[in-house]
Amino acid sequence: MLRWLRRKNALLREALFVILVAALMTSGCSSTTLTSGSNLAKVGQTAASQMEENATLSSDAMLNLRKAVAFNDGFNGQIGNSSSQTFLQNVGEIQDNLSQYAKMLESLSGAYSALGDLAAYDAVGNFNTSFSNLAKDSNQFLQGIHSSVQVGAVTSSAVKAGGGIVIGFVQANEVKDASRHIKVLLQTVIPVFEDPGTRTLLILNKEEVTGQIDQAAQTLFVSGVYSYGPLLDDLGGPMNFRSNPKSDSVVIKNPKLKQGLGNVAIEAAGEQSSQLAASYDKSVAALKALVPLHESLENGAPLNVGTITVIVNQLQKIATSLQPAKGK
Amino acid sequence: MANGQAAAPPSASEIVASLGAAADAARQAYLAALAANPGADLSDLYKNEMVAAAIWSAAENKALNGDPKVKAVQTALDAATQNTRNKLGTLKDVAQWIDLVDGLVQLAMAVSKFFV
Repeated sequence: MLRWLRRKNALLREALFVILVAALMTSGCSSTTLTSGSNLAKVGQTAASQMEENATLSSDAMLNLRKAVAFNDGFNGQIGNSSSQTFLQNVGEIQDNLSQYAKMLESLSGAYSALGDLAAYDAVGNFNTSFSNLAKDSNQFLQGIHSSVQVGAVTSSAVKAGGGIVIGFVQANEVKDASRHIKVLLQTVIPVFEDPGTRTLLILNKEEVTGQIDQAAQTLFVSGVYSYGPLLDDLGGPMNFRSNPKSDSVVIKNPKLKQGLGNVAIEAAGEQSSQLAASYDKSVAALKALVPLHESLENGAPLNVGTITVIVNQLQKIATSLQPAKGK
Repeated sequence: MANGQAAAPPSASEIVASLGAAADAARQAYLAALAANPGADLSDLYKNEMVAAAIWSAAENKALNGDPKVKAVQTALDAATQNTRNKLGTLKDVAQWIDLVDGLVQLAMAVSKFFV
C-alpha cells in the first residue's frame, strides 16, 4: 500500500512538472499573443473611430440641406417647388439607410475595444456582446443597401470562455479566436464596400447634399454678401500677402477679380467633393489593412502597424480638411 | 459588338451614377450661369436642376426593370452630361444654358422610366 502511494505521488509530481514546463513554454507565446491582441485592439479601435468620424453625415447635415434648398428655392422664386420637396424627402430616406454605415463602424470600434479588454483581463462576455452588436449592425447595413451578402454563421458563434490550468494560454487562445471572428467579418464586408455600387451610393449621396449646400453659399458669394478676404488670404498666403480693409471694395469694382475669385470658390467646392470620395476609399483601405494584422496575431508574427497608421493619419487629414463642412 | 455578343446591361448603380453626374452637371450649369450673369432670372434653369436632383434621388431607392434599352439612353445621357461640363468655362448666355440643361433633364427623365 505504501509503495503504491509513493508510486502515485511520483507520477503526480511528474505530471505537475510536465504541466509546469508546458506552462513556462507557452507563457512566452501567450504573452506575445496578448500583447499583439492589445496592440491590434488599439489600432483597430482608432481606425474604426476615425472611419466613423469620416463617414458620419450629422443630423445637422439634413437641417443645413433643408435650409440651403429653402434659400435656393426662394432666391429663384420657387418656394414650394415640388422637385425640391421630392429631392429632400428622397435624400432623407437614403440618409436613414446610410446612417447604418456609421453605426456599423461604431460597433467595429466597440468590438476592437472589447478585444483589448479580452487581452487585458479575459473579458470574454464583453467581447461576445460587442461582436454580436457588430454582426447585427453589419447585417442591418447590408440589408439597407440591398446587398445579398450577410454576415454568416461562422462569425455569429461566440468566443468560448476558457477555464484551464494555464490561464494565460487559454486567454491567448480566446484572443486569437476573437481576432478570427473580427477578421472573418471584415473579409465578408470588404468586398461589399469595394463594390462600385456601394461606393456610388455612399459617395454620391454625400456629394449631392454637399453640392446643394455649397450652391446656396456660392449664390450668396456671387451676390457679393461675403467678404472676399478669406479667399484672397488663401491665395496670397504662400507669398505672405494679406487682404486689408479696402480689399472688398477693390474686388467689387473689378469684374475680372470677382470672376476669378468666384472660380476659386467653385474649385474649392470641387475639391471638397473629391475629398469625400477619397475619405471613403481610404476607409476601405483601412479595413483591408486590418486583415493582415489579424493574420499576424493568429500566426504569432509581429504586428506591422505601419500601413494602417499611415491610412488613419490620411483619414484624419481629410476629416480636418472637411471640417468647415462638418455640419453638412 | 465585334464578336456578335451583346454587351452586358448596365447595373442599377451605374445608371444611378449617370443620373448623379447629370444632376451635378445641371447644378454646375446653374452656378456657371449665375457667375456669368449675376442678378439674372435663372428660375427656369433652377427648376430643371432640381428636377434632375429629384430624378437621381428617386432612382437611388429603386431597381432597374431589366429592359436592355436603358444602355442606349444612358449613353446619350452621359454624352449630354459631358457636353454640359465641356461648356462650363465658356458658355455665358442664359437662354443657351436653359436649352442645354433642358435636353439633359429630358434624357434623365427617359432613363428614370427604366426604374421601378
